[in-house]
Amino acid sequence: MIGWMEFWRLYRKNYGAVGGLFVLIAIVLVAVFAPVIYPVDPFEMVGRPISEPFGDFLLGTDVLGRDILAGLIHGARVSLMIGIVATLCATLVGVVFGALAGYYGGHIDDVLMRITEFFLTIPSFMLAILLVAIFSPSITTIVIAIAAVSWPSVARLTRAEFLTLRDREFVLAYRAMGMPDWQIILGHILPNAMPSIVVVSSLMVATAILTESGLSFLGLGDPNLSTWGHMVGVARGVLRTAWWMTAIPGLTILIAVLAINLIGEGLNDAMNPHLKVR
Amino acid sequence: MTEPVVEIVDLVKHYPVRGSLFRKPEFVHAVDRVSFRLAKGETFAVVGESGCGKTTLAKCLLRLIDADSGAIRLNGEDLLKLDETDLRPKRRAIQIVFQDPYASLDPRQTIYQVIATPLRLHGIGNRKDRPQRVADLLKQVGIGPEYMDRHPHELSGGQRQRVAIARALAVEPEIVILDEPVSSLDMSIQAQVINLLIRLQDTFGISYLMISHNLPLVQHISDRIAVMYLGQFVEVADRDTLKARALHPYTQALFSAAPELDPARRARKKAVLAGDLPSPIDPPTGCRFHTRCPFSQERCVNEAPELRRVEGRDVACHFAGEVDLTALATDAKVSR
Amino acid sequence: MSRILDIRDLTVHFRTTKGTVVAVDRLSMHIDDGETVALVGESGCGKSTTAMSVLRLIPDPPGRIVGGNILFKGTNLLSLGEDEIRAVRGRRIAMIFQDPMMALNPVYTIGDQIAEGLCLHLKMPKAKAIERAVELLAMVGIPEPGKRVREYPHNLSGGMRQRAMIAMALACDPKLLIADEPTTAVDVTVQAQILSLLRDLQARLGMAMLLITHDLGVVAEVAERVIVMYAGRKVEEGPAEEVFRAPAHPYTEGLLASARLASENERFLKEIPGTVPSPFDMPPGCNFEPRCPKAFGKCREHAPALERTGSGREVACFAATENRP
Repeated sequence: MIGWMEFWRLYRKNYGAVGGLFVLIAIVLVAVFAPVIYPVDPFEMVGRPISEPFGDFLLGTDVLGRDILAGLIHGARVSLMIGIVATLCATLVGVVFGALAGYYGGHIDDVLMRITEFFLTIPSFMLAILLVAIFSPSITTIVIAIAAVSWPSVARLTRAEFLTLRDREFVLAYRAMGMPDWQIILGHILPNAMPSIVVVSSLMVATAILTESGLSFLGLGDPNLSTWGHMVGVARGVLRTAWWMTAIPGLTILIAVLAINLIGEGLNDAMNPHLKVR
Repeated sequence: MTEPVVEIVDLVKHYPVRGSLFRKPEFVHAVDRVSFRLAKGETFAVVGESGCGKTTLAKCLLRLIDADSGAIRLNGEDLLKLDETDLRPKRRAIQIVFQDPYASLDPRQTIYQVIATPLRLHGIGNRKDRPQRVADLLKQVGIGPEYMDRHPHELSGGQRQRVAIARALAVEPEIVILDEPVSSLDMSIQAQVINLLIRLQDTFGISYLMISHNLPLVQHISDRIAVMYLGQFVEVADRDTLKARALHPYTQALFSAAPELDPARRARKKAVLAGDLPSPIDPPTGCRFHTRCPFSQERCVNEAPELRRVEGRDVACHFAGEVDLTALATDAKVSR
Repeated sequence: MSRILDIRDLTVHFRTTKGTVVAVDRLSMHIDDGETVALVGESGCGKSTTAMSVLRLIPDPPGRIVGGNILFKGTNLLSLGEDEIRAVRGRRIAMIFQDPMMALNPVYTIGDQIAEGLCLHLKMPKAKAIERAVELLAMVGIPEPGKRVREYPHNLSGGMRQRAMIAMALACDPKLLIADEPTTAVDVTVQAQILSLLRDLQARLGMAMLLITHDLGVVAEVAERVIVMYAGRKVEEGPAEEVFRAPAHPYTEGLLASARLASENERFLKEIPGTVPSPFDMPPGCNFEPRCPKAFGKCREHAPALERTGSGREVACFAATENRP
């Protein structure tokens, strides 16, 4: 609805959001071009273990002598991918539940919302741990676990949007015109609900990365992948002596999550301008 | 009248109020046995205040909500008996223009898309001639082609309402329901839109069901008027018959309450109806108006009056013709 | 007859993303003790902005009062400090709004809300304030006021809420009541009740009233004088009956014609063609010129100034003042 020019104009007013965008672009570029710019295998032992940063290796080495910088760069790929894929899955499921519940109401709403609430009553991180532990850790199970705990909030939001929009006169006009329900839901209500859903989803990417980091930290990550959380976990034992080994990946998680949160705010400002200034 | 375009018979709609575990279920008596007919090219108005059920009536006609009982006969066929698939093509015949011109247009669509959507939905025209059809429809309502690429928020209230009218006309309806079509517009724009509606009716022979709380306006453009109170019609008359004399006390109150510009008419005694609208969940027994009616007798509390023919119109009052609210007014106060 | 409110050359700007909007353009008007003056016009004419400016309720940003004085019994309200203007609000000048549901706090009882003003401004103890609240509710015609005073806004009907809001406004005995579209959101029978109540209260309390409305019928029922505004400027002023009988400005004429539904022989209503100009694209001369049936060359180049055409009568129109047919 708002053109790209207008979107950018509103977005760039939020300096934090612009900063976050640059940071994220940098992370994405690094992740994409990782094998080209820094073709070091994060699992390969390349030097003396626990060596300090700014020595032979820019960020030092971990307990097994693996290059920390390599770990960060490759970790970026994994974290981002898990974050995005998990979020997409969660959004898809959540939107379907929320749209049907919000549009049809009545019994359908009751049933769908009870299922949603069931998932909401279980602490999400606990559930994620449970799922991953049961189905043995791999990138697939992690993505599914994260999606499984994230979809309810999307469902709730989508339902709220649909409840509001369903009774708007323009939707009544479509129904009076004889437009089939599925067409109204997909083609006309959903696009109007998109701004809110996009904002929530973007923030969800950050949460997904955090959840994944937490799982990896606990040793429940995919053993074949080096992620930021995994790096923090591995360095737990030498926290007192080699603090940088936990601090560096931890800081990276912080920066990435912060950047995504700021982007989410910027998106909100740009896509829901009517919520801000009256 | 000759075969009416649509005939509504004893329409009833009661909304259940979501009760708790401890209360027996209650119902909002939104529409209670309403009947009327609409002829081709006629304008029939339903006048009433908030809570009288006029919007529910409109939604029942459009089958946006399903009535509990009664019949809606469109050219003889009862719409309430049709399932959704059979109903869909019939929906073309009855369209609606809403009160709020902003909410009634999809904010994400361009004006072109707003008009093209119903055309596409019903397979009217083909991809090649559609732009021309849209342009023609917009021209009929006084919107130039330069607006086709704009979005609703770029148009003024009056312009949006015109677009809403064009959208209703796109499917070539026989009846257009006008739900307070000009209440949200500035006064000078109201006249423009009303005149447009009159011209369109002349051109296309559409029947209008006009829903409004503005009695003077309705008086001007309607052929017949029904006054609605708490889900029921209390008086149904031709425009001129009603103008000459209103028989039901509520109708009299509505006329009396309309602000008067002419100082001479204003000086005449004015009856101000006291009290508030009773709850439609538990409407008064007998005549629903008896709680606010200065003439109510025991009969009114116990026996609900039916619509009967008095002095050339249908009125539901035991004492129709005998009571006059305005005659009671002193310094414009009728207290209860 | 002393002047209770004297607005001189009030100018209010609004900053928007597309530029600055002149919402009110050098408006001057006054209200005498006990008088009812109506400010009439359509959307965007600046009447609500004017009303809000009196009590300095314009949000800044984006609005700003950039010029003029508002004298209330001699004191310039625009030069008062925050504490001082707060002492005026609700106490000496009260305001009622269009939608009572918005103006009333849903989580406090009616009694508490009325008492709040009394406790705040008159330092009344709570118990006494509630007693006074009951009296006020009775004064505005709410039946069983002792019971109602303990109820919440949602327990009341629309008409009663509006009355409750009036009771709140009158609690501290203000000398001026500003009513911003008080009956626009209510049904016509309730409107008649409210207008009757306002007339009644005015007569009893000797209060002046500034009535903001777009409905000429309401003006005719309640106001002694009327000021017609168009696109931020005053275009006509005078005693209500006179202005309605013999309007001088073509816009007023047009409004009256639209409001007075055509007589039986005419099918079509009288319209004013065109629409209100966009605030970013105002005509160079008279604001109304593009839509005016009496416009001539001069109107496009110069904005007409207000001229007195009689006792208490003003009009800003070349056609009117230059006696063109």
